Amino acid sequence: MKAKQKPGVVFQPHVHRAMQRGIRKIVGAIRPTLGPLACGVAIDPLNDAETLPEYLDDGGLIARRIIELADRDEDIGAMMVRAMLTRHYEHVGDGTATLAVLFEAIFNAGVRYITAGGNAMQMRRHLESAIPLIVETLETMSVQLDGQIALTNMARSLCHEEDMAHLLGEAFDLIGEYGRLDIREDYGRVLRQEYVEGNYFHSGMFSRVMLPEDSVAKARLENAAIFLCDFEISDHKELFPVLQTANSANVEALVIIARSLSETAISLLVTHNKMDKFKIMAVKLPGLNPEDRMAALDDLSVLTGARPFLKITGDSLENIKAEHFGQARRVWGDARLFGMVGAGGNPAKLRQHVNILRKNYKLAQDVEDRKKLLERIGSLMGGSVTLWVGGFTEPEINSRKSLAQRAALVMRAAVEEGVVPGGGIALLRCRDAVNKVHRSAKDPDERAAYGCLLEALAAPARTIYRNAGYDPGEVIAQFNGKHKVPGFDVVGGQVVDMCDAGIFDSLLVLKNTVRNAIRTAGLALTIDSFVHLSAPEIIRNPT
Amino acid sequence: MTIIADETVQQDAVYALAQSTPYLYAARLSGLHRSEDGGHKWTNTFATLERPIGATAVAVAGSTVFAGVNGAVLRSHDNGQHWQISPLASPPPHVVALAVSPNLEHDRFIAAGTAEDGVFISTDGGETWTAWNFGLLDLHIFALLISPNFAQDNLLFAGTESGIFRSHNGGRGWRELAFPIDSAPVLSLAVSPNFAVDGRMYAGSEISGLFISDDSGLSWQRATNTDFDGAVNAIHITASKPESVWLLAEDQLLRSTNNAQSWSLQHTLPTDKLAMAMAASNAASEPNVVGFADGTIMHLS
Repeated sequence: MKAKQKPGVVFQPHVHRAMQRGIRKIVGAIRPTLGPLACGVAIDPLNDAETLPEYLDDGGLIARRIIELADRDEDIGAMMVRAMLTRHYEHVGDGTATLAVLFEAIFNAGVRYITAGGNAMQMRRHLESAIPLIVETLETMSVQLDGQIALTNMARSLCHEEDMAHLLGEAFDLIGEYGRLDIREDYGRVLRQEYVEGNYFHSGMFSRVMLPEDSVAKARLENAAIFLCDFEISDHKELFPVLQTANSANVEALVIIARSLSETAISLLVTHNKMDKFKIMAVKLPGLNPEDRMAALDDLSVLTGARPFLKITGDSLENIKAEHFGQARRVWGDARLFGMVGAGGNPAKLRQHVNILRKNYKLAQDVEDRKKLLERIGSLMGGSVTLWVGGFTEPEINSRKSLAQRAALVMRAAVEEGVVPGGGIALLRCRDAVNKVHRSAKDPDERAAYGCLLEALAAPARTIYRNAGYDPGEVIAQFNGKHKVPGFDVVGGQVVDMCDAGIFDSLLVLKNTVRNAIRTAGLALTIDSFVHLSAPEIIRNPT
Repeated sequence: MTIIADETVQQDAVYALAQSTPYLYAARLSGLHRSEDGGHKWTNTFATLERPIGATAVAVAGSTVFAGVNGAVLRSHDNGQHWQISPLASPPPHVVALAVSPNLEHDRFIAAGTAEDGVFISTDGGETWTAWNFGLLDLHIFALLISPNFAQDNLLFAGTESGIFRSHNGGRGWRELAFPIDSAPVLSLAVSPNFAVDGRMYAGSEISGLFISDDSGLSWQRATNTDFDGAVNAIHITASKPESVWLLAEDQLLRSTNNAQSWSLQHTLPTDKLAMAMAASNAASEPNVVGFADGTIMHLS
């Protein structure tokens, strides 16, 4: 039986020491990636001598690659950090290296106090009670990013690539916090931007047969009436009332949005298009499940002014009237997408609808829910940007695409909640507020908790300076009253005003980083023993 | 008060008036008319075109005149004697408002607001136009306003059916402003000549009278010191007297001489006509020409 599989119980002081060793290993792998002059990490591929080592410079990805440590006690500490970092990476997209460094500093300082006889549970309580104070202090430093230059500077500090920074800055200046930005791989070698006018949806035409003969890519209609339903139309006769009503209303063009159309129904529409009356386009209702389809019906109804016909309410197409049609100035569709420009819904209702979606987005906790809501808002905003990411090799394209996606996530957060001085300075400046409560605290556990935070809040800035080859003590000693928000530009090698220099971090990212670091460190400090279970035989020796 | 009726046109309407010394221009259903005598006599500058076209918007910068028509913007560089046409995207948008950059010679920037298709932007002096409607959730434009400090702040405002939108990047991306949605549509917009310093803006609504903002449009308060709460079809601020604000309601012309703190009735207009637009006959004077929905133009004495 391997040591890993032996059952057993481990007690203090071994528990904290083993956790510290595990945490030191995983954080040690991530620490060099913090800051603009950071180093990368090479990941040795599994059982494949021909594959080159993977080069990574992102804390979240490095944490993902560390599957387990050999020592099972150290592994518990390391996996705790890994779980924290990967969750943070998925939810927030940036700040994983700062989170790792901050967490380790709090944990190590806390272990020192607990080893000397402090109460871990009390310490955890006091650590967590300081979160609102730090978050509020960060919020007081917040400034809004305004204009393309400021946004480009922010993007540059995230991706360290001039072309990408320029395009992201321009994109977010246009779309704001809720607009749609699609990042896609390109066959070319460079980055390029495409602007899409109007609203579009990820759902295409029912059949390529409906594309006009002179066009292989897209069907286009002008001044179109929109018929919207969630029906699965199997009998072509069901469509007769719709066509008759459109004909009576003298529509110039008709767009049918339905869940499905049978072959005979499509044939009817194709035949109709060949006659010299109004043109018809039929597209699938977006959404893979009933909930998404209902959301799409809701959005399209508000956008176009169409009255949706719903199966669940017992609607019948026999009752359709001309006023049930929505309107759009231009509609286009291809095999994958359809979109419209100048949709004719009530603008006041559309703004109210979008505001409700925005509120729901801010309240949503689930990542998938937030993604869906953001996509819904983006599809209604009247335009979107596509960033095409090219490169010389496939790994380069994938790496740049991943970088652009992460940078875009942080940019959106920065536009949403503003930014604070970067380079670890915002956290360093939070020490003044913590110092005040530290001085006034009487309880020893409380004082110790604030003391841990005072030490930890300086750790990210110190790490950035050390990674860039500077002595942190010497750098911090240079900060003086000459600048309003003094900080050290490690690229330029001089003390600057961080706001004037455009060195920022996203407030939202930093707030999440502080919350995650303190909560997880507080929890880790209260772990007092390990229990190793014995794995069942079938897991140990699968055959 | 003199009413000047255009005898040659049976059915007409005045949509907009614009002044560029020594000329006055009137965008009318019958075409773009020009007056050289302060609004007494008018000639149709579109008379030389191949077919009659109605003008629904006009903007002037020196001798360059832009006229909005159905589906296109026409431009003239010789005070309306010769015209060049630049079509907009199909289906033809109905141009209802035009705004010209104060630095047209340098940035060649013009914006066109349309009835159903949002805002079109030209950065080449009106030769080519592109729709830029990112974030513009309401494409029904009634008024467009360009910041007098446009070269520095790049601000553009759109009054729409549901409120006011602001662009801080020359019309490329739009954000809605906190204008009360119940008080929309916004028919007219005006800005203080000292906008860069005081951030003062005025918005005339269709049903709730005048609204004022002192923070570049971010927040709006209803002006409660006016005696009416109907439609404000036009607002005029005399460049040489920034404290002098004029409001054109459907049947009255009001004036404030103290930055909209109090108002006095200057002229009662005919109740059987709908006043649509006003202008001053020269840059230094107060508004003295009013255009009506039935095509008449009134010279106020």
